[in-house]
Amino acid sequence: MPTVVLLDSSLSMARLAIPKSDPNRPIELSSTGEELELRHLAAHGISHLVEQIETNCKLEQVALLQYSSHCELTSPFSRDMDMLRSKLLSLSCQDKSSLEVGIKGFVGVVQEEWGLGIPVTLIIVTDGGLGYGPYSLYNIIHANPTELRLPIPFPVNVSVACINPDSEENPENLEKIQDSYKTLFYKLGLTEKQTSFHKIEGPLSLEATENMFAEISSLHYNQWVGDLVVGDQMTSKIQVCPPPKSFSRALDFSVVTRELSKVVSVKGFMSQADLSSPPVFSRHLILPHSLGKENKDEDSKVPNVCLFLHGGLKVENMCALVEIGEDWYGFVYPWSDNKKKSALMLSILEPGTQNVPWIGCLNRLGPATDLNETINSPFPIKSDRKPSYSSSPVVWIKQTGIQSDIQKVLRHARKLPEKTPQFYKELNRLKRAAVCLGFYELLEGVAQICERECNLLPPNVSPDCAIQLTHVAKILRSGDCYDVNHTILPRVTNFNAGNI
Amino acid sequence: MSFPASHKTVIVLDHGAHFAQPCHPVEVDVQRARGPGAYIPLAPVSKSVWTCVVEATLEYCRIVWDLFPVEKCIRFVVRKNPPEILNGWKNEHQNTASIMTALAGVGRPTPDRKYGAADSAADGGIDLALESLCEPTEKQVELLEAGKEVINRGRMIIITTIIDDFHRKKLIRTAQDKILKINQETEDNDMKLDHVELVIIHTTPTGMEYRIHAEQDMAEVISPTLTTLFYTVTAGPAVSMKLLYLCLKHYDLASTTVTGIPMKEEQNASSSANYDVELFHQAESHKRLLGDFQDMVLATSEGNEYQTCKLKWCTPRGSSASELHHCSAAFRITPTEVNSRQSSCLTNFLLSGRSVMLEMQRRSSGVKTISHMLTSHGGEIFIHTLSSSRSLLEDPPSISEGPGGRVTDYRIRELSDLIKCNLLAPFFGDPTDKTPLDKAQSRLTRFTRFLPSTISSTTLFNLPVFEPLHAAMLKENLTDEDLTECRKVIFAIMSMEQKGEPLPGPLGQPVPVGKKSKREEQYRGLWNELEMFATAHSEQSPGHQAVLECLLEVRQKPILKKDEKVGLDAALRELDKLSPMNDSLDKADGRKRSQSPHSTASGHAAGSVTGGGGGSCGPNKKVKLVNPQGHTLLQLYTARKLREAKLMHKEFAARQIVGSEMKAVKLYLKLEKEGSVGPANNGGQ
Repeated sequence: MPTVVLLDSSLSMARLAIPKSDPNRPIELSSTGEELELRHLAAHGISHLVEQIETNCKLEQVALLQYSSHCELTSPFSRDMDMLRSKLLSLSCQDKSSLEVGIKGFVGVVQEEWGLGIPVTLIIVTDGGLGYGPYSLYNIIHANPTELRLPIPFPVNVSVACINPDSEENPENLEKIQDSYKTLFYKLGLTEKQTSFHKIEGPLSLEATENMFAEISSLHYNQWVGDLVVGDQMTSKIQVCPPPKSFSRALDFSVVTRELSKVVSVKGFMSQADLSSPPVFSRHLILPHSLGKENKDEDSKVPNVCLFLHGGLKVENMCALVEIGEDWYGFVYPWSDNKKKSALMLSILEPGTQNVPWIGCLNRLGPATDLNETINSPFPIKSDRKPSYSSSPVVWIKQTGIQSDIQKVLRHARKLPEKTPQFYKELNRLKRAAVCLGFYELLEGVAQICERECNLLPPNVSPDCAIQLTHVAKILRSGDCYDVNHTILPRVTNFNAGNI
Repeated sequence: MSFPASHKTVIVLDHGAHFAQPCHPVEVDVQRARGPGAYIPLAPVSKSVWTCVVEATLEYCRIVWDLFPVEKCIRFVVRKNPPEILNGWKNEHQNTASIMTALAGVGRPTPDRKYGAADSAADGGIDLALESLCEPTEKQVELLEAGKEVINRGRMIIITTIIDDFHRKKLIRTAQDKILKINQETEDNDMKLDHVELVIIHTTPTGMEYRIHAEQDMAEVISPTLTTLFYTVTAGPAVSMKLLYLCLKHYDLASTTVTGIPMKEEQNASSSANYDVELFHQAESHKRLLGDFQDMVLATSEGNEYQTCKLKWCTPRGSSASELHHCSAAFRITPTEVNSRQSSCLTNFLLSGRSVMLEMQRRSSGVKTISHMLTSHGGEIFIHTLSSSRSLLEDPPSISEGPGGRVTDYRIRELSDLIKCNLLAPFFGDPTDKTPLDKAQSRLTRFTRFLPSTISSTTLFNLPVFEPLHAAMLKENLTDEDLTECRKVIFAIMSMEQKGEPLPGPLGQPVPVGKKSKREEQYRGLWNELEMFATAHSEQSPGHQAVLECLLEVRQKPILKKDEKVGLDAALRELDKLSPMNDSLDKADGRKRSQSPHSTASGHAAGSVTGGGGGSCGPNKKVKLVNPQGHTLLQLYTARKLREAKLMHKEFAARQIVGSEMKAVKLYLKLEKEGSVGPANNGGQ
């Protein structure tokens, strides 16, 4: 999920991290050689966080926003962490702390870039100042936000990194700050699971700040490392990005919860065309797990199962069905965004074995070699239901429906005796429907039409036309017709005797 | 767990005189395109209230059953005297054809039979409907049998003519009383009615409603077990429209209009005109995309009470169907007007196997994105929701950037052949067999157990002469011919070795002649590979095992058979081989192989060969090997006896020999600890 770092750039962030009055502590300097201010600690912490993201979540997009009385997008969403780091060097402090402005900016940036469907991580880095007046945090929790509309319209996880000494002499009581943020979370419509508040343990220092940010990164940016297994000998350590999540959803008749196994185990293969874009719960990138930057060069020369499998699947447009939990499946397939780059993807289906009707029950799949070989693919599995659109039902709600059905009968009537079977088939369909719907008036109507048709027949048609039409009109008026099982049979004449 | 009311619906139809009234004239006379033009047009025929109501409910069912294959059940009750129930909850009863036949059996109401508000037949219908809601559906039976919780909610739709508000209230009271009665009378283990949603649709040809004081479409809570909604509608096509609206509401459906579908005209095949087709599907299809409908272009569906979302047809290019699309949902669709020319044109197009993308325009930004795909699978049409917003996965790093990325000689072709041999298909074998997928996996395991991933890491697979054996071993069972073929391959490799033929190198090129030692090494590797390959497949069948045995025989290695009694001779022979096996991996390997009966005399080994018997009665040198450790005769004899005994029965745990020691289990440990008894019993030796 994309990350936004929302950094407090109010003037209070320019305070010294170590008060001059404490002569016992060695003076720490910032990376630029200045005396250590809160903003330097913040920058240091953020750069530590970014490093963690870079190693653990390769695909993560991070943006940096700064807020004071106005909100500024310092670094837009990007995977280029170096760019973000370079911006950290030149952070400056503005005026007052207006958190509402910051949150509003955050909502705007996310909505513009990601829409409403994608969950986002928000990391607020601040000294915890509540601010004054409209747009301040103080205002949000004690009154209502000035402009911001609540709740936040997309899923979000929030962590607050509070850079402020946690000591009793501190006039800004940290507990009070924490409570204020709790109220804020509540007002934003977030549950306790979605939020966390972090403070620095002990006196402020670069190291303590780093620890706090490590805490945050372990909360949001863990690597998901597991095994890709083909058979029992072909295995590879893999990293899956973004980390897959366990499943929990309440359905109509049950609550389904599933834990993900750490083993992605290949069960067999299918062609991508047969799989035919089933609905998936989530989609991930599979990367061969690497041990770190140092071994990169050597690693790349050692054969890897992921690449082998990727190549094998790609040449024939295949995909592998994998098991990832109890009655929980997914599929692995090569995928390319553009022509040049190709990656190995994992799509996870919703738990269960019957999610894809055209594949059938997943654990009832077996080796295709067990089928006596046929040229045709065994997929898709034919549905045993006949939907209305392929069974020409009678729908007469609109007048045109009735008219076209009558027209069909008449069209065949003019071509008697050749079309005798078609004529009676259509006629009986119409008759049956009329009886089922209790639409007896239609029977009389059709009888009248048949009679009139007799009189309008052109001279070149077979005499059988007139005979059959008169016959039909007579039967339609008889009481036998109201029986649903009664069918109108053609009248045997000299003209059609051979055709019925 | 929502246990939705839509799981069970009972539709209750009036069969009284009110429903026999004519209400809607229908023009059945059709304009003739050809032939004599002058004739007197026929008078329109008229549908009765009954016909309109039946049509509307059948359409309601058609949509529900097209979209939901299971778990949405509908039953019909007709309020006549006595009341009649038309179908059951079972799956085979849930289709329009059987309902239609049953309705034909009921026949239509007659105008002369009147009943008033107090008519017992009317109440009987409600009683019967509520009782039928109490019967469990197949799904509920399944849940109950599994001991799971079931909340029995249902919906009762009564289509009737109500005289006044008193009559309406009486209807509700009748239902309420009956629910209470049912819940009181049912035993603990029977299903109760947890909640009923009573939908009353009042219809008359005139649409009169002035004596009824009830809000339209407003849920009114009567009791914890009963909620009611009321609708008034003029008899005629409006009944269908109201039921369409209710169908969308009851099953949370959405309407989508596919716009701008180019269709050729019958008369004029060279040009095409654009048409729109409206479809129904679960609303979730749009919600998964955007969270809600706010950002979609909506229009009021013609003459209807609901809104339809407009999506533009994108003429398909190329073979987009075979590609995998990232799709977050797929739901069945059904056309709104199933028999219209445009609808069947679209459905036939899709049923023929083609698919089409749909484009959505966002209302807020005007941005157009491909948002849905229409396609058919196995005879049913689905709408797939595609992901259209930005994703974290866009522009992923190429797989070749990571570990293993600079290896260029993966045996891709071979792996793709293997993949084709391990395709999955629906299993039609023994239906009680629960593990077809595991079967597929164990086959895959056999195929991949020995599979070099690169060309340079194998000699065996680069050797053309190996191919027939390779192909044979991949089979499920070997025929005698296969076995012969495999033996031939093994001997062919042996003769190659003896002739000193060069083997293909890592890139398939022959290794230059002259480096003899290197070639020997290469052959040794080759034999090892072959052995690993044969071992990987050996458990498949006796034939596969035979190939391994043949290989081991020519390589003079012990054959380890499972579950087979080893005779004394064999045991001795094994003892014999103990030593050769130990050093089989050293340099002597090549020499020993040349001792095999099939070898022609080869230089340095010729002197030591005295005869060919597989090594059991070897030359003098071998006598020593029988007893390398210098055991006494008794020790040898005991060892043999023990070994034989071991094959007969499973040794008592306390007497098992681990390594060379007898691990006697100590007894009475507790006593020993306390020191009251001397040394523990030695396990009864």
